[in-house]
Amino acid sequence: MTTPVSVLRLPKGPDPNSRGFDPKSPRFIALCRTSIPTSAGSESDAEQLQEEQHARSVLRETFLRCLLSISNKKVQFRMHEKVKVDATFGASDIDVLNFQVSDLHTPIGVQKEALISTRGSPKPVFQTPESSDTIERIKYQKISCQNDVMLSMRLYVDGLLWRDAERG
Amino acid sequence: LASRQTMAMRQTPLTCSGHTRPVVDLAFSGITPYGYFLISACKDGKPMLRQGDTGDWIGTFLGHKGAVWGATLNTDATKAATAAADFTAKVWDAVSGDEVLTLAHKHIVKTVTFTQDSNCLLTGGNDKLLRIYDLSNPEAAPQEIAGHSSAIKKALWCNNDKQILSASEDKTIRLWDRSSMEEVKTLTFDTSVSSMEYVADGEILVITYGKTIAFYNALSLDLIKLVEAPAPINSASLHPEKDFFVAGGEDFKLYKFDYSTKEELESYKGHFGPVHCVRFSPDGELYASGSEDGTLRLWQTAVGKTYGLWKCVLPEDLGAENSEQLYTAPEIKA
Repeated sequence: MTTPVSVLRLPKGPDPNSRGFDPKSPRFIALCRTSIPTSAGSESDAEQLQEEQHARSVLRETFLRCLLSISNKKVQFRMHEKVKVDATFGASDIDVLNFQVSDLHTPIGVQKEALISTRGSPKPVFQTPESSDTIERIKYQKISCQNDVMLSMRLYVDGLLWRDAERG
Repeated sequence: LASRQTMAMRQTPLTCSGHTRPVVDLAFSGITPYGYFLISACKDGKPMLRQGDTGDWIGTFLGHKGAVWGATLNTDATKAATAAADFTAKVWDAVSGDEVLTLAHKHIVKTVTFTQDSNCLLTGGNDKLLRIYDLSNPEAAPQEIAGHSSAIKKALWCNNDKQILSASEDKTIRLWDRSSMEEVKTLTFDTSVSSMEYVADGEILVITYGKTIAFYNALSLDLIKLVEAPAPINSASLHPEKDFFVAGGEDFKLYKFDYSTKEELESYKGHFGPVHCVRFSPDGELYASGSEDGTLRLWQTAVGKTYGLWKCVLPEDLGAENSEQLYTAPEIKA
């Protein structure tokens, strides 16, 4: 008569709402260093930390405002091998992994609705050809620290949006 | 030990769910300060990272647009690499889950593996070429090794990353020298090899084909021994201490053999489909299997031992207060 080995519980399964990699896990905290030195050490100056947090939140807000402002506008993506495609920008997903676009003009035809992957694309450049006097050109550049992981972004914007950010 | 023997403990595999399609490959990391980790490749395109000793899900690597055929971790589990049907191999940050690199290929990629220092990545697939990428200079074109006449199923570094072993649908296993990029030796079989595992300590190569599990010297490619299993085998793994090896295949079962005597010791039912991959953990305390049924299962090497989520319960403890906190697996009818 055999007895099955007891187990404490079953292995935890995936979280349906997240891709995981808990940033609060000890491993994540220890191994994912930030690009800005003040955050890395626990002995950082509280005032410096606050300034840094403020700067980061300004960057995040600017980026989000950019995405909102180009919604429903015609944009141009520069993809691999210098291919340029025009589309109407819809929205970004929460991880900025995909952009939803409409009316995507590709070298092989027009796609009514499409998802463009941001991964692997070195520097997507958004350019709206509509306004001739104020061309809003938004670029984002990865500031990498470790393994090219995009940890923060610097936005270079000509025109209205940049001025808004400066005012903030 | 005596009490465990009289109790005759029955193996309770731990089932890791989450994948929605067959699990075709799995790999363990080395032992890190945070334990060891397990990555699984799945036809659903979403490879997953799990804590190795418990099977707890840590995260899913999102980005591939096709079935993922191969997955691996570097020794300290800070990087992952995957090979997929979308004609790309990807390198990932295994701590944050972020995609770090996409390496475009000309056909389905089947296998990926890091060198010990994680600086180079070896890939192979349906375009019949082995490619070596320098991860510190990923924009540079990879070195290419041609020679196989059919798709490459598995490629491994061996001999301190100085040589490469590749298994192909052309029914050969070839040993290549990394610096000269030339073929050093070839093994030819009657059928294509279903799996290959390299054990650095002792330079042993574990190969499966048909119902056979074969052990070769990885440097000379001389045969050490052959073992026949009761059913066609898709994957086998040698215990780090080389006292056991495990195998799984088309009859859905896991088999455990004594390496010295070649004797079949145990067999376990549990999966609901063919077993595609099986690997021992780096500490040898458990082995993981991936199946057509979409699950991974963790199995104890020493059945009844307290380890990970398994708890050794002695007869005198049963019926005591603490036994209610334990979960007893439901009976699996044969």
